[in-house]
This record gives sequence, C-alpha cells and structure tokens, in this order.
Amino acid sequence: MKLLIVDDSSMIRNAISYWANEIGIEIVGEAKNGVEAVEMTKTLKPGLITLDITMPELNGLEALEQIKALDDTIKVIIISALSDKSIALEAMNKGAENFINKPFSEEDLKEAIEEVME
Amino acid sequence: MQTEVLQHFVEGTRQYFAKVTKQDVKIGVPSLLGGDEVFLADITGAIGVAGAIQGAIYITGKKSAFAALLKAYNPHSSGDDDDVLDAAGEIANIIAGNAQKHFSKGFEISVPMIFTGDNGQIRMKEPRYNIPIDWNEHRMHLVVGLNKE
Repeated sequence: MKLLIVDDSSMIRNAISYWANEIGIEIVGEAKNGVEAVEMTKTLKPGLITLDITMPELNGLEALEQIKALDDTIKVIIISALSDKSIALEAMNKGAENFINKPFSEEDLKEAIEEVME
Repeated sequence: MQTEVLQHFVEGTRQYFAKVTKQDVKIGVPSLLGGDEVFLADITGAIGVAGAIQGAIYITGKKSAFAALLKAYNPHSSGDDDDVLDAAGEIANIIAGNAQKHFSKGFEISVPMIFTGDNGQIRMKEPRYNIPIDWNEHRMHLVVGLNKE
C-alpha cells in the first residue's frame, strides 16, 4: 500500500512515516498543506492518505473533498487535534474511512491503518 | 467561566503528556498574570482562538524541553532545530484542539505560530493565566487568555 502523509507538522509527519514503514507501508510522499496534498495525489497515486485538518492554504476537509473527487477508492484517515465530534462526523460524511485524534500513539496509528486495509 | 476553562486546559495538558511521554507530569495551580508580566522562554508555540470564545493560548519553554518532548514521542526523530520548533507549535495545536470539544462550535483555532527568544511580547486578551508544567526536570508554561465574546 502506498501512503501519502499530509500534515503541516514535521513532528507528526516523521512519526507517521517511521511507524507506518514498520508495518510495511510504502511512503510515497509528504505534503504540508491541502494544496500540496491534492497535487501529490494526482501525481503519486497513493492508495492511502493520512490527512490533518488544521493546515494553511487549504484545510484537510476541503482537501478531502477534492481528493475523493479525483479518486474515491483512495482510503483516507483523518488525524486531527480537533476534538469536536461534529468534525469527525463531517469528515466521515465527506468520505473519510477513519479518524484518529491527536495526540496519537504508535499503536493508535497502526490500528487505524490496519482497520482501513481490512 | 475562567475556573472551568482553566480546568479544561489543565486536564488536557495532563492527558497530552500522559499519552505522548507515558511519564508523570506535574501541572501547577494556574495564576493570574499581571498586565506587564510576560512568560516567554527560548521557544513559544501559540494558537489564536476565534468564535464565541476569543483570545489565544501559548506554551513556552527552553529548547531542551521541546527537544526532550520530541524524542519522548518519537525516539527516531532527527531532533534538528526545525523539528524542535515545530514541536512547540504542534503541542500548542493539540492542547487547543483537544479543548475544542468543551466549547462546541464557538472555538475555532488557528494554525500554530512559533516564536523564538525570551525578550518579546505576545499581546493577548486579559485576564491571562499561567499554568506551570513540570515534566522530566523541564519546566514549561502554558498561558491561557480567553474571553467569551
């Protein structure tokens, strides 16, 4: 499975990259905002995306709509610090397959990836 | 309002450290900051808040504190200066984002802003409260300045 990591925080991108790689996921790219995420989705053709919500330029929910319009078979895991349940619901309604809250552990990430890959 | 709001941040900070470091953290009693009092250390990560609740929060501490937090979360991180600066912003983002559920729709947060140096100022809504954080021989401060519109 090819993974595109989308988060404006290098701390989070590095952690996801390392932990996902440990379970055999191939990291095809890292994007720092929603605009980069949409562009990299077109060129890198990932099968899985981890997507932050609060980002500059284009937020994760707006990027999610554009990504799903490009290819609705791409699995998307939203990873966000926002804790209002309506945000998670909105993401799921826009097509996200899973949602995990920050801060998340190595186990939380691996579990979420395995759930969407089942 | 302030006691309840501060309690959300105290509890959220405690949960953050528990999840990320898996170590004990001591959160001190919040204290009101005077008009001229500034708590800025080497690195500061700040988040603006808009909506029914307005203001800002920030976390500030020495570079060594954020470097240690970064390593505690992911021992394989490079620990270079950019990553340490980024960690300060991301911690502020997570603490503010986790508090959102207590305020429903009226608590919109900005992307993180990161400042370096201890001789600047961050102008915030009064009253501002300082919450000391002691973790693993490091002291940080969470400063909360929020008001209902």
